[in-house]
Amino acid sequence: MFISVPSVQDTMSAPLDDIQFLADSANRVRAIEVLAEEPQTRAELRDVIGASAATISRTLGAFESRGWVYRDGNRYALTPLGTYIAGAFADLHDRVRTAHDLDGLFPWLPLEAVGIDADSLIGARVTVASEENPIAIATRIREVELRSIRSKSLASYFPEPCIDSRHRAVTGDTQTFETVITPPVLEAAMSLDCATKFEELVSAASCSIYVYDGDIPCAGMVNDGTVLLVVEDDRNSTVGLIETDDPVAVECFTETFEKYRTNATLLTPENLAGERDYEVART
Amino acid sequence: MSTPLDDIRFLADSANRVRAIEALAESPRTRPELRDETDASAATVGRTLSAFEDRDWVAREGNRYVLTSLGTYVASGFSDLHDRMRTAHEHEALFPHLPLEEVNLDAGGLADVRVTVPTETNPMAIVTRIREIARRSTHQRDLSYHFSEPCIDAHHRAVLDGAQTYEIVVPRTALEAEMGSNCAAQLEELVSADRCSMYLYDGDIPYSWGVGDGHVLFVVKDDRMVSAGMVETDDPVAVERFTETYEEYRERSTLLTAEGLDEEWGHEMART
Repeated sequence: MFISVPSVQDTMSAPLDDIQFLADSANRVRAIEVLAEEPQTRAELRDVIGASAATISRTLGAFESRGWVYRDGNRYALTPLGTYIAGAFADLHDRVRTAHDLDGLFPWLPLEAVGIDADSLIGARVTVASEENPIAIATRIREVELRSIRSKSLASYFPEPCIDSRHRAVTGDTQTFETVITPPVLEAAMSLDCATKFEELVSAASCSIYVYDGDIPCAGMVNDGTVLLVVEDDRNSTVGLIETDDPVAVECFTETFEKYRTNATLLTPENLAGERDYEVART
Repeated sequence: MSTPLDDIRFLADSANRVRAIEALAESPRTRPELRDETDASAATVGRTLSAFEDRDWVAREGNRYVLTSLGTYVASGFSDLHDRMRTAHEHEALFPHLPLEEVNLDAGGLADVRVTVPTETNPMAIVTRIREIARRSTHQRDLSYHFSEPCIDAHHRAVLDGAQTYEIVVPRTALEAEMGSNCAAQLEELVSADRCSMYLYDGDIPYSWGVGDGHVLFVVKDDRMVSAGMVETDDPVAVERFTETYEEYRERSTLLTAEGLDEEWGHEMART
């Protein structure tokens, strides 16, 4: 066991010591997490943490001597001080866990584009491609696109599988869908095999497609109170998906969506016909 | 492969690393600047920066080191925890006596509060602070087991000056105690004032709290019912909860009118 000697005696030592005391042991962290949920007996703690009776005793003793825990019959409970400390530590732990989940995605997070703070991402669900599941991202997007009830998306691209999913959900009457796309995205959609499905989306009552004459900085959507952001690296490869239901993130994304939508033109069957003729004339 | 806990431990293990990351969170720093701020050797600073770079917390820009977005994210979380731990140590004596239901300790809680404690050089610190607030509030509601002389005096002035609307819920017994005192006349004027409402509660009130102008104050008593300190917070959740408790007591109390005062204690006042 290493004992660190503070190089400067100051008021920093004691608070930092407490953080170190917890961070030094996964068992201690788990113990205080579990106690924060509700009072525990020694046996319960042993079960949940999987540590020996001796370790549990030592841990409880150390917590008691710091005034974090008191004994209530055969149960141990957090004191107000212990509750405070457990909450504070859990906040940092969640934050760092999220950083690990996000792993290499951090530099590419489209936070500024959408007006979201990294704080809103604590506890977010992360989807990345892996060896066991190389198509995890596409799978998850499709799942979300099919299952959403109310969906608003900023689409810097709208490829065939997405058009297909949205078409199925919208014509199946299970989804209200609004999206803002760019002219190149529109052109691409009309030149694909699924152009017919795209046209049907444009005509559908519960679907609104807007064309924004400019750049859309990222691909993302808000579905039923959850924001989904597509994370792309500097070569425009999709490297991951982040999903969060943090209310602040939802609000920020929705605001950004509205900003683009109000400056975009609604696509109607009429002006789409014009586009189609233009396409036909070109080929 | 490091775990999240490893990262926290990595920082917590060294006061120098903490100071370094806190300094970088303020602004980009050169190596010499970091050496100054952390009081560490060049070698230590070098090792720290390497370790930060390994974790992608820091990037080099010329001769300056800058926190990356990941580094900022981690640093701000660690600072929060550090602040809250410092708060816990500073106010250790208060913690056992805090009204947990009303004061939300989970989300940041005490880090944003102001605490007043009596000290050797200033044993009247709490009373002084209470008076200060009592003088300056525009709308105040107190729920207290007593209505002390300094409070009566301060509120009397503020209410009669027209600067304050004041409500207080006190136990009936508490008022009885004051009616035989020097401030009986002030009390009577307060009761008669339009902008003041005094409610009498038939029972014990185990608190000494105030809510007003989006601000909550509560006196924390220790086991021997001595004032251990006073805590103030602007946390809207605390304001809401304290207001709820206040209103519960007020609903079960009786408004004291000038007539009522006279009936009950006219003879008391005639004596002074």
